[in-house]
This record gives sequence, structure tokens and C-alpha cells, in this order.
Amino acid sequence: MRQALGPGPRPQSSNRWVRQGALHAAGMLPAVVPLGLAFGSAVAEHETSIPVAWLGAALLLAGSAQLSVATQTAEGSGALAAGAVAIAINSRFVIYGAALAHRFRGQPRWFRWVGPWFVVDQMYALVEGREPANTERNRFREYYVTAGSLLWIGWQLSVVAGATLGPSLPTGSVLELIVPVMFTALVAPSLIRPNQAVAAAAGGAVAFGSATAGSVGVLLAAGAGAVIGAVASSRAVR
Amino acid sequence: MSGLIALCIAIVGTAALRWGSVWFFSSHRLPGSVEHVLRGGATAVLASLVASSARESASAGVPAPAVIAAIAGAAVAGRFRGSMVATLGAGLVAGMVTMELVG
Repeated sequence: MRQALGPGPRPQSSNRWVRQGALHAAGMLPAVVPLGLAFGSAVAEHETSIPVAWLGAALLLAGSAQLSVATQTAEGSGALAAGAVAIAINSRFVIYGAALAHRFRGQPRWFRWVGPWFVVDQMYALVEGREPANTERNRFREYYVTAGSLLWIGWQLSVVAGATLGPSLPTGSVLELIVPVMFTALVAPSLIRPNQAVAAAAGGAVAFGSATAGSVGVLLAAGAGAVIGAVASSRAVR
Repeated sequence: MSGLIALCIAIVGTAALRWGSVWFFSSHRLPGSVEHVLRGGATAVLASLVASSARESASAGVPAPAVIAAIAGAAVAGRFRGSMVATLGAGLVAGMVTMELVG
């Protein structure tokens, strides 16, 4: 009788989501390693010791902000001012956190403590671009923690390698192109949805034309993109 | 020493931004339209990083047409869900070829 019924639907394997998280994070590593190498090399140029560079890479997990701290303190800025500028640069994480927050709703407390640590540009792009929106909560946790951990490890190793190898790393125009290309690669999968494409175009235009560079420009762009994307979306629904 | 103190301030402040945002927005049930707007804002943030890094590349001496070609190449490859390596490769090749053409 049992044989006649057959094996039936198999429960989704937990390993599948761990594997998927690992695969997606491995695919994202080419967008992490060049930045980590360049950042590690730049930090070393500012005579930051490798343990301090690594400490920042491990706990701050934000290259541009850490580089800003190194640059400003090397130029003689006070610790409070340099720290405040770094926090302003990282203010974009508020937007990512808000956009990802629905994935954290109803999750256990430990995950709501650990998960936000991995909120960075690449992780946001990975979750929104690759991971299905209707994933069960526990499966999402497995996916997110696996992917976040691997990206974190990739970042640490590339920063330490960059700081150690430093001057022996190649330089040139190709490297100047990597950063805009990498950010384009992060945003491109979102452009499939028309309202996201409109939001991206608006955000890019505002940031490019904005006289206020840096974090203020990014926040202005976020606001413009959100509003214009929402308007475009509501018109499309009508 | 001031570098280490600044780094600690940045670490604590950034942690507060990350945790505060996720905890606040995940503790309040928002209408779907608001979540939609937030996702648009996050996409715009990524796009603004493209724009600001493109401006930095151009000011570092890379010809503007090469920067534009690199972004366009990566956008087309990524739009069709190419792998990250393929997307980066398409962008860099487009940028390098354009750089050769414009001298």
C-alpha cells in the first residue's frame, strides 16, 4: 500500500537554501574582492596598521566609510568629526535596512540581532535581486546567514590581502572603471521592474547633478528615486 | 590613537543605523505601498552610487565616453541576469574598447 502511494512530496531540504545562499554569495564575490583589495591597499597607504584595518573591516563592514576615517585622521581631523563623517556616509544603510525589514518581521530575536550586521550594498542587491520574495522565514534565515557570512569572509580576506600586498597590486584605468561597473552590476537586476528602473534613473540623475557630494547627495537621490518610482508605479497601476 | 577612536565612533554609529532601521521598520507593519517606496529608495541609492563613482572615475582621468560605455555594458548584461563575472566583464570590456577608440 505504501509503495502504491509512492514517496509523495519531499520536504524542502534545509541544505538547499544553505547551498543556494553559498552559490549566490560566491557569484557576488567578484563585486567584493576588487573593492576589498583596493580598499586594503588604500588603507595601508594611510599608514593604518593591518590589525586596525582588519578590525574596521570586520566590525564596520563598510569600505568607503573606513577609508574616510583613515584619510581624515591622516589629514589631522578630530576623532569625533572623522567618525561623524563616516556615519553620514553609511546613512544609506538605513534605506537598505528599511527596505529589507519585512524579511526580518516575525523572525527570532537572535536573527534580528545578527542579520542587520550584514546589511551592505552587495547583500541588499543579493537579497532583492536573487532571492525569491516569498521564501519561508526559516529558509530565508538559512539563505541570509550563509550568504552574509561568506561575503563577510570574502571581504576580510581581500582587505587583508590588499593591505599586505599594497604597492604590488596593479593600478591603472581599468581599476578606475571597476567601481562604477560594480555598482551597475548590483543595481541592474532590479531594472526589470519599470518602477525600479524609474527610481534608479531618478536617483542616478539627482546624484550626478547634485552639487552636494557624498552622503547628502545619496540621501537626496534616495528620496527622489523613492518618490518618482512610487509615482511611476501608481500611474502604471491606473 | 585618534584614528582608532574615530573608527570606534564609526563602528558604533553605523551599528546603530543598521540595527535601528531594521528593528524599527520590522516592528511596525507598514502598508505594502510604503514598502514599495522603500525598495524604490534603495534602488535609487545604488543608482546614485553608480553616478557618484562614475563622476570620480571621470575626474581621475578616465575619458567620459569610456565610463558611460562601461556602465551601459554592465547594465545591459546585468539587466538580462548575467552572472556577476559576465556583467563585470561586459562593463570592463566595453569601457576598455571605448577608451582605445577615443584615445
